[in-house]
Amino acid sequence: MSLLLQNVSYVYEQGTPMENTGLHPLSLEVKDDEVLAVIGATGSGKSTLIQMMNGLNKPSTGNIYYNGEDIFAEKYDRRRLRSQVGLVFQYPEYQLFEETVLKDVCFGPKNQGLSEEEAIGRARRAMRRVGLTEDYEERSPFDLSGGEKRRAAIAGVLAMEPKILILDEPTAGLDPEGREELLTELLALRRERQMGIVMVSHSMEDVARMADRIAVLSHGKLLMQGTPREIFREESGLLEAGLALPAACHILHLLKEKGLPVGTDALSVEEAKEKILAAFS
Amino acid sequence: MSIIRTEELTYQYKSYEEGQEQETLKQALQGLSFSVEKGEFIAILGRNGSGKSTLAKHLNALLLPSEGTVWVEEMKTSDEARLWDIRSTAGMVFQNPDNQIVATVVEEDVGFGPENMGVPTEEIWERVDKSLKAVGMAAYAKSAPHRLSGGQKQRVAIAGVMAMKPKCIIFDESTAMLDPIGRREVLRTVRELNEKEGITVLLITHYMEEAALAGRIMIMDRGRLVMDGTPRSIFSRRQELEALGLQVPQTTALADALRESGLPLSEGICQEEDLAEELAALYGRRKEAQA
Repeated sequence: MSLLLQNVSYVYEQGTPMENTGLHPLSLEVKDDEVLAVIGATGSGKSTLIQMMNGLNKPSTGNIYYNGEDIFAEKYDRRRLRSQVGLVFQYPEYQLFEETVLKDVCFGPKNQGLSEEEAIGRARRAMRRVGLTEDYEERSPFDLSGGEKRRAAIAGVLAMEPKILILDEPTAGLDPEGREELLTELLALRRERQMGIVMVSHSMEDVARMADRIAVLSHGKLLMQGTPREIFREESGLLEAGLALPAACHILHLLKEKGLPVGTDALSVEEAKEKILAAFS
Repeated sequence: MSIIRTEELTYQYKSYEEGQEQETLKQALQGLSFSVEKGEFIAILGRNGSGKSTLAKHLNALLLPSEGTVWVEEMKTSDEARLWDIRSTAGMVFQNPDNQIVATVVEEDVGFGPENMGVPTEEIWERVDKSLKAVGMAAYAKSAPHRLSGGQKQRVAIAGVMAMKPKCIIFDESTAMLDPIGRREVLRTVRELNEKEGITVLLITHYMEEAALAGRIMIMDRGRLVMDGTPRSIFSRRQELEALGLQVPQTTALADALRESGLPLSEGICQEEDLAEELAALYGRRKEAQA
């Protein structure tokens, strides 16, 4: 069970004088029990790529297979695909529109053709899952805090019970507490539902902590993919792509430059501490 | 001399909730009194909904206090006759670069503010040149803004504010939507404006590493000012910060963990370079002692 992108490319305004390549041919697999982080500078093609994953963008060349089926085949039910591969846009809280949080979260499952009762059941489960208790159900989405709105919007996609959840910069604009809560909940979701998560992020710290695999995009090309450890070893490649190292990892690089015998291979504060203590012992 | 001063600044608004007959009064800011000296670089932190943006909007008269007073230099923000003087003294850069750019050519966008203020044409061009140079975007004067990266657009927005010759610029989460390089570009620009041009900076952010670059940090919670001090003094109060929904930068967390493991590092270290330097010095001394 997975989502497979094979030699996909994307050209904007193809056949016009404005023709512009958004993505050069690339292949990538999303397994449905892993966290894949997509990183890259603004304009590197991240959003174009993830909007292909649920069939919103049709690749100019190449094919996309979900569970072995070509999602752009003539008879393929892309509407159903979109409930199985759920996409949460950037700043999704701007898309809340209903009178109450519960109604808003129900919108997706109702559109899937579920009964009122089933839709409400799923909406409630999705709300609890992201930490929105019963007393949020009848509140207006516009009275919630930034972090709560973001979670309500994510619940709206979760209520469709997707197998793969794609999030475009889920923590942008959230305060540290909101960020922490959201990331913890995403990890729990993945564990309990065996759900695949694709996450676009500009925070190297979040990526180092969350991802099983990282895909690095640069100028519309897939520059590299690998585990966080493999990727964050490639400092020069990352800088070239307009990215950076997580802070803990960067400090180790600084120490090494200053002549300390430290390993630079650390993804968290805890690992960096061990490396530094080892140099001092 | 202070450039901004507030006295018992309070802001409340009416909120109508579903199912309730009566409106409720919400307190967004409660009795804030503080002053900002010329040339300071201040970071303002606080969780979502703590009142940071509401405060920022009071500092250039986008909002007026329900009670209390805000002064920008000697001007009261409630003095309508001085509105344009206030806004050109204290400029503001917002979060989304795409919402702040109005023209189709970079230099025209930067000239928009001074033109509206009635600055003579000759001088507009001088200001545009100087502002674009100050943010490192002079080479893009004839470019179309939509072709620029997020960090570049944000620097054009900053140049647009600069062209109005402000003494103070308020950045309301201006780096939130940028990639790591874009954030670095904008922060470097902010620091240079502060250090070289002497512009007073108020930077609202959720990134603790950005706050670590400031000379002073102010922390808001539920509409009140709850902490005010240097980054070192603030970031050495980790528990209090966490209770306010904030964190210490990763650098501070690492330094704290190392200190708890017995390395004698100073408290509240919050910049990567500083931590690396202290560790290198400590390592050098240990090696010498062993030799």
